[in-house]
Amino acid sequence: MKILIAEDDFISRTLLQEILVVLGICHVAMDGVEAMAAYQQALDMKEPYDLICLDIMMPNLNGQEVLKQIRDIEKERGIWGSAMAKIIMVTALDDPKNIMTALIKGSCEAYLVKPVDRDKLMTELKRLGLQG
Amino acid sequence: MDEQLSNEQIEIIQEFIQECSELLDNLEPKLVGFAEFTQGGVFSLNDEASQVLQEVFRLFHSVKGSAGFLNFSHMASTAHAAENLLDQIRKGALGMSNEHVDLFCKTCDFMRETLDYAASYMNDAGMAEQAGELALELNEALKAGQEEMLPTVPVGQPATPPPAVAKAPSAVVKEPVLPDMDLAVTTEMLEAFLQESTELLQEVEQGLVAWSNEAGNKEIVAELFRKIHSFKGNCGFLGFRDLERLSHRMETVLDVAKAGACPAKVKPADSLLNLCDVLKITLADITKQGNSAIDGLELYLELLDDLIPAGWGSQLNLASTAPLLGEILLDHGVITEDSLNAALSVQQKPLGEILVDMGAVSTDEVDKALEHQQQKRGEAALVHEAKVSEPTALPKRQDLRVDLEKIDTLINLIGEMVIAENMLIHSPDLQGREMESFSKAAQQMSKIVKELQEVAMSIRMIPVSGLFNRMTRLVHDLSRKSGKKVDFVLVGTETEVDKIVIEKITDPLVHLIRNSMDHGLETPDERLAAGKNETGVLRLVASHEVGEVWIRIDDDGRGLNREKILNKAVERGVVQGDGAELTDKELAALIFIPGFSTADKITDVSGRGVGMDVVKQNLNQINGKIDIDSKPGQGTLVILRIPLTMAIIDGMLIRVGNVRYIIPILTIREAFRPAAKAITVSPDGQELVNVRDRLYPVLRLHRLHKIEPAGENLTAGILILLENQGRNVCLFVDEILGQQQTVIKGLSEYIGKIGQVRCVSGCTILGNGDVCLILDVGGLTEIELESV
Repeated sequence: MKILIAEDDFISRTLLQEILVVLGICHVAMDGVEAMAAYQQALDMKEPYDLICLDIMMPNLNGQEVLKQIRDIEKERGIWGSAMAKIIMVTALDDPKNIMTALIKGSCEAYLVKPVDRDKLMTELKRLGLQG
Repeated sequence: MDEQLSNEQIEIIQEFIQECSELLDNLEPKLVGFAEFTQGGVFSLNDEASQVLQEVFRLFHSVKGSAGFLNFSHMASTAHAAENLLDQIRKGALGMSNEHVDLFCKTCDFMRETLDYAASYMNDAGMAEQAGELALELNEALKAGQEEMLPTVPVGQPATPPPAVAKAPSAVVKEPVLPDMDLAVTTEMLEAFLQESTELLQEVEQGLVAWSNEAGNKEIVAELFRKIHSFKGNCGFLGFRDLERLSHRMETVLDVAKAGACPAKVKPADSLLNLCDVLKITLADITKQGNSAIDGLELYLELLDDLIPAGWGSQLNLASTAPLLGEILLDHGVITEDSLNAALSVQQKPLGEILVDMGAVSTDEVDKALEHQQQKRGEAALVHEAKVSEPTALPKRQDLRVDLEKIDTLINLIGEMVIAENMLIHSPDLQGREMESFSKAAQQMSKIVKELQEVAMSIRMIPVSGLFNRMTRLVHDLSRKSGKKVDFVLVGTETEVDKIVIEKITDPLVHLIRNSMDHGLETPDERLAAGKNETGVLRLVASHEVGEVWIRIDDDGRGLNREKILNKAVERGVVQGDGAELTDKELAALIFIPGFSTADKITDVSGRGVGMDVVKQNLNQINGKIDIDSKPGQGTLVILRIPLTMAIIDGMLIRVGNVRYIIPILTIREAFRPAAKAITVSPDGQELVNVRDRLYPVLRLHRLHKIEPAGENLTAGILILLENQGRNVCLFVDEILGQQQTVIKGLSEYIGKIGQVRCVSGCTILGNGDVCLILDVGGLTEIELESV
């Protein structure tokens, strides 16, 4: 499985990486722009990410925006159904507006509010059918 | 999952409902668009269709994700099943048929219903059955497709699988594994319920009053029905069974009335009004001690049953749609119209029995006809049920409820800012300097601060319509009780006043209106005898006048009884002599004396003599004034004058000795330096000053507050003529220092209690940081009265 983690905070990023690395290859991005570049490149190489973890509060391009752009690209290229990337928002923001924007406008697969631990993340992955 | 829902969770769910409804609004036209592709039977994937399919998939996907997040498991599993089906179609494993479109549309309907359900219960637990059936259908379709590759269902064949399948083992159905969000009643919810319900009942009450005046208006009834219905829903949700039962029965009565099947002789509005009171009292009980039981509930229910015609049965309007027994018998040619009419004229017991008694028909024939009627009713019931199941759209909230405390804090802070601004601009450090750009900036800041202050005050302002409408009910009841006819006119209901003002004038208004109804307006006979219209007019008018809100209560009744009031006043020793020299205004002031009542007998409406005293006290608390004007035989006009703002006033800064005071500018009539010849001293030592041929008492502030004045000589200082409730006094001060915006701060309680400081209503902080007292002009004018 190919995983992308977009998170500007070192500790959160490392934590996610350590939890997820057992599942497959983990790439990391420090901000939204980097995340978009990584996503684009993987897509061009025809090896898209299976799972993308996005923080919302990131420099340059925030997670909501990344989510929207990814979904736009998928739409453009006619990628849909089970071929869509599974996106999990991992963020400290827990206000209704952010949650519903991500879930409904951005159609993300899951929304996790920090702090995130292994159990929480694994439960969610299991629900999405991603855990081996 | 949490046992309780926090406010945040509720907010999230509300957000979800709103977003999701929009989503469904988008989804539906797309689904219908599908029907075009499937017109010619099974549809094969082409570019255009594929795009639509994509859209639909995305939307279902979003619903699945967000419903899953909220643990709306039924909704999520249904969306998931729909998504699976779409994915199969995408992969080409399945063709798209009309049947599928129907199924997706059905899924949409289900989701809308679930959203409606969630809006009131905050979960989707109640939709389990429907979700199960739907998921089953979706999975069936999926399986069918996988087995046959292409379904060959022709267009138009019902998509629903046979009911037997629906009861199949739930292995196929993706049963929700997550626990449902359980909802316990929190204090906040209870508070919200009480507030909302009280408002709702308020509206119901108005509606009922309107209905009783305009019996034929179906719209009002429909509106009432909706309101009682949501009230019932709220009660049921929070488990107040008694309230639910009673409101349910009220709803039924309204339903009867809506269908026009109400017995003509009864006026349900009045009974319902009484029951509205019962509901309100129960709500109050809940607030006080959490007791939601209604005493005598059965009695109320029976009372309402009288309003519901027999045969209404399970609240379905069957009787009016099914033909009447007599008509059926007539149709069948069993009886003639004559015998039917004869039977109807004696109709006390069931018509069938009478006809049998009359020998017009046989028992068998009646039974047959009755059977026929039952059947027709059954059909009607089905139709009715179909109508009932239509989802009802919930109105969207548009306003924002804010804790009053927050607003008060904001206003306090702005008050502090006004003081800080004064301190800054009048800082002693800046004295005597020329600073052009600073003064410019200061001016700009003053302007903004002033605007900010106005905006902040306006947040607290609410229209008086709610208060006024409550009075409608009062007048309605009073007029029923006393048999007086009255036309109650409301003017200026949109006028906005401070929330505190509304609270404080509610009681006074009730008293004043009672007075008008009880003492003022005459009975129809008396009115006719006096040559007036039989129906009296009571007007309640709200308006903005310079810096004040005026509430006028105006009736065209008999006016104040001068003689009676004078007799009573003399009797009580309030007025010396025969009081013949008193003006109308002074006379009116007498009725504000505690315990003063002219009523011959105490009624349950008024006459205890506490009313006007309370009116005055309440108004004093908000610095309001009362003017009364009355013309015998023509009516009485009472004006409540309330200052617009109570937090910040325009004040006049004065000095006595080395102490400074603020006088509210609105109470100042004029300020002048008296000529020596204008001053006279009465035999008992009271100093009086002559202003344009009227004598006013002089009050020396330095004596009242025991201050060392700059001078004792009246002609050396300044006299300020103050007015309150028609009474005047001239205040002697040393100097007027200027005018300024004054932020009122309360005095600490112990200062007020010990009573060392007389005639002070509060304090403020001056620009240089000094504390300065605000004079209570009402108190000052009363001191003068005491000493007379």
